[in-house]
Parts: sequence; structure tokens; C-alpha cells
Amino acid sequence: MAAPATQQIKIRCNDEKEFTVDRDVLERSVLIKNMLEDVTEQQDAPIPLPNVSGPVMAKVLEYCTHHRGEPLPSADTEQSQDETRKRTTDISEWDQKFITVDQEMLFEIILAANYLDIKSLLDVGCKTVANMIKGKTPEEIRKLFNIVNDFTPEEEAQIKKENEWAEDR
Amino acid sequence: MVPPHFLVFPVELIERVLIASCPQDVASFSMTCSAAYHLVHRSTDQFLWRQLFLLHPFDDPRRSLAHDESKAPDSIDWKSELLRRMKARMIAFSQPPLIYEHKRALETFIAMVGEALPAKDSQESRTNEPSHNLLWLHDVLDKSRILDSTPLPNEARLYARLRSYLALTLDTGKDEKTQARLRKRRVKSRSYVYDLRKYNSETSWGPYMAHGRVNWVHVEHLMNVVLMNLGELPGTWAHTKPPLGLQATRPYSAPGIRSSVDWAGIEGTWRRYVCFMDYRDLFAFNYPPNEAHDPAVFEDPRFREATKLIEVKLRIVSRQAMRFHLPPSTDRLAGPDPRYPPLCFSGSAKGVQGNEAVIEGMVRMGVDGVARWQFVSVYDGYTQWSSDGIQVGNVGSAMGVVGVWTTALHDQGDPVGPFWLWKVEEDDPTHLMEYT
Repeated sequence: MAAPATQQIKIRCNDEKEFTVDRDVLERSVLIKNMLEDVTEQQDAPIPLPNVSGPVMAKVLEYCTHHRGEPLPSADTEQSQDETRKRTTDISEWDQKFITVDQEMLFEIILAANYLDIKSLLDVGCKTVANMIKGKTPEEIRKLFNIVNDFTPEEEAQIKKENEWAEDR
Repeated sequence: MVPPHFLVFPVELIERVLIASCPQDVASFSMTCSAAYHLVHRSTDQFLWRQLFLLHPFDDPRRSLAHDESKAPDSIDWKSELLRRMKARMIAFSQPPLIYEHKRALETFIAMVGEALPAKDSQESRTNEPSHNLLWLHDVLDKSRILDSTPLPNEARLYARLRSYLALTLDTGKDEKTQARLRKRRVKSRSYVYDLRKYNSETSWGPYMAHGRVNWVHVEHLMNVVLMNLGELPGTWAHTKPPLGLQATRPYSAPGIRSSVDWAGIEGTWRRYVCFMDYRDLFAFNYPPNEAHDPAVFEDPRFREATKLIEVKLRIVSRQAMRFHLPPSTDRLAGPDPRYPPLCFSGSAKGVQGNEAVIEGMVRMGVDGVARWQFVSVYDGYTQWSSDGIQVGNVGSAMGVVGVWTTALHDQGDPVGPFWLWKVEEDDPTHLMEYT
């Protein structure tokens, strides 16, 4: 049964930071939605979220508030993704502005969206990273993500040859 | 707190990012370090590569006619298939050309046509999805112009096969260079098609080589001759032509329902263009006083070919019902694929003068997956013409059947010419005609 829209839920992050949020906003997270299943009375104890910090949760809540009321993707959508033949790296204007953050925050948002199970936010995050990689050389990607090249020169030559089809664009 | 590093993300998150990327970006990522390399290239399951393949996008090979349903659904090597296409594309665009690699690229392209998504799922439902294989291939062939290069001897048939599938759709330029190239090609194609030495028992009086293999060079020349004649037709006939180009090679792209009995899409109304030379010209070209065939006759501005548009209606009949054309026992002609047994058909052909012929013939599937059509035209109980052609593209392709008509007797010096047969909607309003 649908809970009243005004119901407020308290959550506590791993840095003790607490938020009190409208239930429908919080339920964009499938993890929390499942936790609140069958819960109709007002809860006094905050829900602990040991994997998310306060500043990251603030960003996530900003996203959830903006997108409140939109239909959640059903479990089928996830399954039929295999059949989806459309690759879209398009991100809506609002989402794009929202996700324009430093790399550390971007990664934290992706990990939080994964933990909290907010599929649309996870998508926005992953597409943003994909767009960052787009058209870059291996060396540029190393710089971007602070990756250390641990190949021996022989390995590197071999791998370069294996991937020569990718060099022409 | 240590900032998170991309490579310590859970594997499924890294894969999610890579799936949103194109294969080239995934390759670049895999070259950054050994952890990335292992994740991309040494993963035990095919999830990442299957997603990259389907989202590229390419047609799902599991929905193609070529897919063997008896094999396990995960028997497809998605990574190899995707890389094969990426490499073929690289070869096509490579400068300077990697000519010794062209063969591999062309074979990949031809296989992709065979794996194109059928235009109809089942029975009548026409899917709105285009074939992504063919959109991609058209783009690669158009932009790379790989088919403009001169093939090595062992590649000529592959070039011709792809050019046949394209049916001059990449040669539409009105510029002088393109036009000059087309004029040259027209002379070459006419010299080939109207050369009577090409027609004998070895070639089965059709576009074949020894042992019944399709001679794609011949097919391409036949198409060139008809297409360039159509370009000169007056009025609306210039627009009365078969659907052309790669999308028209898709399985079941022709009008009519998809049926497992009528796998070749025989039943229904067809249009047929027939071209022929004035017999005196044909004779003069083939029996020159100095023994050498001189294509100059085709370059003479007074040279004319005639083009005739005929309406054909066909239906499937049993072998026993054939009155004029008795094909060998169908068991002997059965191909390896039980989905495509030889089919006999009968029907009528009507020209502009209203003279009606009886048509009888047979379709059978070759071991190469190309459907062969063989039929005769009977006037007043007399079997006059014999025609041999191949379905251009997949089973039930909108582009139809291209081939050769000759006399039923196959006497030496008898006339020959190209024909093009394609299926139309039942109520297609085309006017028949004959143009010289």
C-alpha cells in the first residue's frame, strides 16, 4: 500500500551526518525502498548507510529530489537490456550539470548509486566516465585515471599489435 | 580517506562503463595496464563483448537465417566476431591500401550480408528495425571506396558479389569522373553479357562457373547492363525498378508473407525486365571477320538495346503438374539445408502486346546459400525461352532475381540477354512496355 507522501525518513551516513528526507525521494533507491517494505509507521531510528558519506549523500539526494515521481525502471528493463540495441551516451541537460563534479566525487557518486541501487544515477555516472575516455589514447587514459603502465616493453608491443584495428578512427 | 581509483571499482561497474563506450575506446583502455588488459581480454564470460557487439549496433546473429538453432545459444564467439568486423573496417580504410588483406575484409563483409536481420519476423509481421549490419556496411563501403580499387585475381568474385549487392547505389555521382567510369563499365558489361562464348553446358547457360558455382562477375555485368538501360527509359518507367542496395538484400524484404512452405517467396506478382540486342548487331559482335570481339560496337552512339517490361504471376505446383519443363528429380537437387527443399512453380507472363506465355520452373538452394531460379517461357505450347538466374542477396530479397535468358534449344548462335525479376505488391499499377 502507498505510504502518505508526507512521511519523512531519517538516514545516517558513515560520517554520522544525518538527513531527514521525504519517503518518496528516498525510495528512488531500491535498497532503501526494499528496507521500507511493509513499514507504515513513523520510524524514529535512522537507517544506517555505512557505505556513503555525508557530502556524497547530499549530492545523491539532490538527484533523487529532482527526479522524484518519475517511474522507476522495472526489473524487466534490466533483463531486456541485452536486447536493447541502442547505445546512448546522451545525458539530459540537468543531469549533465549535476554530474559536472571532480573525478573523486564522480566516482563516489557511482559507487553510492551502485550500493543504493539507483539505476538511472548509475547510468548517468557510467556514461559520464565513458565520455571521459572517448577518443583518448591509452597514455591519455592512464593520465586521466592515474593508472600506472606495468607492461614490459615486449608485452606492450604485443598488445599494441593486437589492438591495431582500434587505432584508425 | 583515499580517493577511489577506477581500477578498484567492482568489475561489473567497470564493465558498465565499457559497455557505454565504443570498441575502440575499450581497446585503448585495455592497453593502459595489465589489470585493464585482463579485464577486457581475459574475462571468462562473454557478457562485455556480447554487449559491445549488440550495442555497436550490429544485428543479433541469433536472429539471422544463418543461425543454427541446434547449437547452444552461447556458442557465438562475440569478441572474435566483433574484432573481425573492426579489422575488416580498418583494412577497408587503410592508406596505403593493405591489398593482401582485402580478401579477408571482403569475406567478412559478405558474411555480414548473410547474417542480416530478416525484414519479417514471421508470417506477415514486418519489423521496423533496419538491418544494422547493412547500414554499417553501406557506410564503410561508401566512405572507404574499397570497391573502387582493382582486385587481385583471387578477389574478383568477392568484389563482384559485393558490387552486385550494391547494384550501383554507390555510383550515383553526376560528376564527369563517375559518369566516364560508368560509361566504361557499361561497355565492359555489355561485351561480357552479349558474348555468346560465355554460354555453354559448362556455365549451364547462366551466370555460373563449372560445377554450378555462381559467377558473380557475370551477375554484376548482367545487373550493370539492365540498370544502365533503365536509366535511359522515358517517363515513369525510369522509376519502375527493383529496390536496390544493401537493405534490399535482406531476407524476406520482398512483398508477400513469409512462409516456411514458400521459402523462396515464389507466389505472387512479379515484374520482369528483359533486355536484348538487335540480332544483326549481336551476330556481328560475336562472329567478327578478324576473330577478335570488338567492343567498339557498343561505343557507337547509334547502338541500341531494347528493354521490355513484363508482368509475371507465379504459384507453387507439384513436380507432377509440370507440363513443359521437367526438372530432374527434386531429391537429387535438394541442398544440405532441409528448410529449403527444391520448389516447382508455374504461372503466366504478359507483355505489352498482351501475348501471354506459360512459365514453368524451379527454385533450389545451392550449397553456397544462394537460391537459383530456372524456368522456361512457353508460347502456344512451344517452349521458346529458357532463363537461369540467382537471387541477389538472401532468401526473399526485395532486389529479386538476376540472370540470363536464352533459347530453350541452346543452339549455337542463338540470342541471349539479361533479365531482372523482382516481386511487387499484388495491386502494383505499373504499365507494361517495350522500348527500343
